[in-house]
Amino acid sequence: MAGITRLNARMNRRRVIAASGGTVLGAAIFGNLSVGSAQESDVTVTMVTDTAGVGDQNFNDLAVLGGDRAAEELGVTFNILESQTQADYSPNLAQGGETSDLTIAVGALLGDAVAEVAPQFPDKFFALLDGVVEQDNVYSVVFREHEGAYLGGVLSALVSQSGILGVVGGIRVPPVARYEVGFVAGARTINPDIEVLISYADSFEDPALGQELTLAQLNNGADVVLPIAGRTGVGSFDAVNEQGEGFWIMAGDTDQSHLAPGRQLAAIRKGVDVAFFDAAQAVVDGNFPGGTVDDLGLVEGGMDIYAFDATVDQSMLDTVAAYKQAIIDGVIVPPADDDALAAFVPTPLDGAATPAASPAATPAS
Amino acid sequence: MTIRPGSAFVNAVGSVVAVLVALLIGAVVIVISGQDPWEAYRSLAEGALGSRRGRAETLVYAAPLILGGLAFAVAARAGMFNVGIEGQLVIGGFAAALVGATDWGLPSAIHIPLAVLVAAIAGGVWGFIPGVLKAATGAHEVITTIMLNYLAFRLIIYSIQRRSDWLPVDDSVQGTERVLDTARLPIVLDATRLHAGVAIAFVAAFTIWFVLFHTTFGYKVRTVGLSEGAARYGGIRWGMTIAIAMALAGALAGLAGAGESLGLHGRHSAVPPGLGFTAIAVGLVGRNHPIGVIFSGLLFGLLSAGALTMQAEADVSRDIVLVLQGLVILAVAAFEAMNRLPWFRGLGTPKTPSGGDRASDTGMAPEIESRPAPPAI
Repeated sequence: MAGITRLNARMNRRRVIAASGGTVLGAAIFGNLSVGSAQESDVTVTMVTDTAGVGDQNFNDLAVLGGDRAAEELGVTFNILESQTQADYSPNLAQGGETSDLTIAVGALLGDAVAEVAPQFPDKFFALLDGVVEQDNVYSVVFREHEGAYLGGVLSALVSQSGILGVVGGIRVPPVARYEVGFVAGARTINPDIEVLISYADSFEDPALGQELTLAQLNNGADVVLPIAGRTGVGSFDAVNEQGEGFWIMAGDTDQSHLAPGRQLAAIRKGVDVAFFDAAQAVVDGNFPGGTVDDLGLVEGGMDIYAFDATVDQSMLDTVAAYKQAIIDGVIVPPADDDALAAFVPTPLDGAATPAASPAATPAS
Repeated sequence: MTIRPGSAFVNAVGSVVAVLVALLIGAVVIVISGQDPWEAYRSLAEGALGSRRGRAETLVYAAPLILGGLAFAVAARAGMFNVGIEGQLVIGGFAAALVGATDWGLPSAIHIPLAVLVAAIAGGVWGFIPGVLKAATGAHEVITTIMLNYLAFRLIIYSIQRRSDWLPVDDSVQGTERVLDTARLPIVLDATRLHAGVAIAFVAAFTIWFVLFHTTFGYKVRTVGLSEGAARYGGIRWGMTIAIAMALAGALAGLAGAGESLGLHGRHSAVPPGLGFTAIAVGLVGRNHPIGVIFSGLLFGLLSAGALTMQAEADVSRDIVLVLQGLVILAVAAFEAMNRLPWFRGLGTPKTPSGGDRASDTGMAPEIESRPAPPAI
């Protein structure tokens, strides 16, 4: 009974993100939609958030989505433990270790705490999303964000009228840096002269600062902005909303078009929810991949671009699809860090659409 | 023990009543949010006090708050409103972690004290700057300490992201490298996170109590805080005193940071922990008295430690603890305001003019110098 009440309480929390339809799409992408009756399972899964917490409309909420799906489809008991400060990480993980079969740490910043707590519970399972801890009972998942972001950069450069893009980052941890670098590389492939303004809030939980940084970029000519900033990124949507027509947001991690209806160009999808679900399923099925590291990109379906706005026409979609195929085929290798970006030589594909900002393009009506 | 408004006894009773009132209002909030307040408080108390590990966690969470609360109290006694504890704390923690992560081949007996000392100095400098600015130019410390907070955050971010060439930092975790074992504050209770930094907090509290109430310097600090004019007239160097008091406050906050990076986390992360702001509340609830700060720090630590169990067992959001902390502060402020009402003052039997802890409370003769007040530094 207590378990059910708990689940209901959780379900109320994520109504906003559920409305975006991410679950269905995510399942479709990964093709492992096991429709139907909720099985019963005595497996308990606990998620430990980073300090941005539930309600960030982003990374944490995406993980909650995966947990909710696991609760619905696999019948597992799904609990969430929120962390307010980094001092909370290891007690929360220990609480998870004591009370559940699988404890999932959401975010690279929990790596230290996972490494500290997991050995204390050798017969329990742990998973770390976005970071790597090499221990027998820990399954680590990292994503090749730069591959998805590359496509986001391609599309943004195609749409941009001003030839200036923006990136608003939370904290420059490696996953965020990969987003930034991949985005810049994709944009340069379409338009070698493109300028990308980059600002960091140094916080994943400061929407006001995110709004301020985004407005500054828009005022400096940027017309497409990619926030990769957790809760901070909500401010970017507000800023683009405020500016209205002609300004676009490229969403990171998940579709957040409800935050700025009609202003989200597309969303770069990061399969956090699916990784979460798969980890839970592995525990239910008794084949938990402890001690392994999964590195998910376009080819594995761990990254993608979706939720295109109507303004994205067919030729742009074709171009994005062509670059996606080129990355999957290994023809293009998007850079993953600053050094790789410095050495990156943009190689446009033949017959692709041209950027709106280039002189060759037809002037916008 | 005198029962009159403003006395330590009345303050203590007031704070206790304020906490009870806050818990009562908090219970109403929990009911409104659809949960069982009894179950919430029970699991909170059980989580914080019901087990060996829970009690250790309470102390772990309390330690930086006690040190931070002292940093607020010392400054407040000198009439300074120290909003810069967060900056002083992180700069201290960062400095300690840098020293701790550097391999000079030092034994623990030298490495730990060195790292702790560097933290105190770094925090002390961060506190000294606004003190001097106030003394020399009159720049208001609320402004300068807030600005120094951001300076500390940015300096740390810059060091981590740009200066990995000569500092032991790791930008993949946005922090310093891990502190070497020779510099880690030892765990004093097996299978818990209780580290030796907790002892530093208690030793510091009693030391500050002694310094404030049983030394000439403490007397000067309190006099300066009560009345700048009187202090000057009495021959106390106002500027020098507030600058040193602020440096002392910063050093205490720096020690809090050292405990976090050398004891708890094993590295310093760029994300500001926010402890310095909670510490302001700890100082206020503790009525800026070092012993009061111990109790209020323990209370806030208890709330933080118990909140984790509360959210796991009673399914009450951890955020309710922030509500409780806010309510405690409000209740203490309300009590303070009530303290100033004439009818409330009449309840006591003031034998001496009411006010804060005057010198007469501790039986010390005022220090009188017959020469004219020297100019501020």
